[in-house]
Amino acid sequence: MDIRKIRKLIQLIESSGIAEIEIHEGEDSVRISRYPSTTVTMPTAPLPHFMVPSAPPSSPLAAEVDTKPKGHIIRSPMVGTFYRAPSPTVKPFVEEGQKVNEGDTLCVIEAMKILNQITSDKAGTITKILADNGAPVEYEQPLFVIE
Amino acid sequence: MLISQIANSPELLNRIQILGHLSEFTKTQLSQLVILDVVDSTNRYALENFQGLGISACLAEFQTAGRGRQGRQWVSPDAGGICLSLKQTYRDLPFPIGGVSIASAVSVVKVLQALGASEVGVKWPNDIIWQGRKLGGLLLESRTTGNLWEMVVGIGINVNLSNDSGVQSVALSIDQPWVDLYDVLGYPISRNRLAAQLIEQEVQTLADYSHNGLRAFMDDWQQFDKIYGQPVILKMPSAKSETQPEIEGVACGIDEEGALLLRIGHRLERFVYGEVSVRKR
Repeated sequence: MDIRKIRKLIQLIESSGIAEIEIHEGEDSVRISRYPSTTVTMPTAPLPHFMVPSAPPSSPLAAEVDTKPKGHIIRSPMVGTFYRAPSPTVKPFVEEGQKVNEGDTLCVIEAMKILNQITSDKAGTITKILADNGAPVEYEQPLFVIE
Repeated sequence: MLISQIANSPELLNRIQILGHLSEFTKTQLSQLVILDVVDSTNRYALENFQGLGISACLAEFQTAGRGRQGRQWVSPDAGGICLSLKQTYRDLPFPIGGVSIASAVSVVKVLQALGASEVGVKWPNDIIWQGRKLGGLLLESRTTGNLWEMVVGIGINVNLSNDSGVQSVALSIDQPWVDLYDVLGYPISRNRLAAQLIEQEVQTLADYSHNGLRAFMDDWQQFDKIYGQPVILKMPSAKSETQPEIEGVACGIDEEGALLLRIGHRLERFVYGEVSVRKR
């Protein structure tokens, strides 16, 4: 999880009346509490979610942090492992700021030893890459923003 | 060249010989059969070069960038194994693509058992195992373009990794216990015949799967499953390689979509990714 997000969460919790908040994002989770003994715990290494789609964060605070980015979102068509490059030694298929055409490969999602190339269904510029290389992703999880 | 050198040189792949071993049905199903001397990866070649609907196949004597899962290398010395990729393009596949991985592993084991390698089996999702050692493996690749679904099944089999002096270093660079068919059977086999039998079986498997899904493969899987009932560790993917979570459970076969079933405590959970290994007692 991005340290800026955590800082923002701390600011939010400080300006609210909430005592403690816990947020899961992919395999990462963070719990922020006002009690001095457990200020920030990270990561708590939760069990990954596998096939069960993870519930969206229900807390209003999380909703504020998770503001939807503008633009066209490419979502994961399956549960699997997200890879940004065809192999660890070569450069990623795409970087933020890069222009892509419809049909260009953006990433690979591996499940059951099938490397599934995920292609762009829209031409534009990649403004945000939302998943980390090597991380598990859920069905319908946003992966890229294209504007 | 000395006669002994000729006698010891490996049998090279030959298109005419392979076609000669195929049934008429398979020949009508196969749009193209390409034999390559050297290629980076037969999977990449198949994905990029075979167009149109139907099934095409390519074989290579040597791959310079053969791949396994997670960018691992698939190592096979020149003419020492089978590097085979079949491509099928679907307009519509009514079953989950993950099942192709399972069905294809079953078809490879059937071919090897028919050759006499009776103890060969599978480790989920598609490692080909003999007495705990790796004899082969599959890596599949898929891509959707417009309304078409392109699927490549890559099959790697160790046939004879020690048939010349230069390959010991290759064999030593393989990062897990391995075995080749020569060791399993105790006698050499024709790579052309093996290649033809793999193509024959896989063409049938792709056709069966697109009509019936995994149903017809479940019994064979159960019979071939080498980890069934054993305590296993499933290493899960992570963006940080040093913190790969591990899950312990007892392997309970697969479900109808090919996902691995693990009994964890009193629960049965299904998994579609992760690397499974048998826990040492």
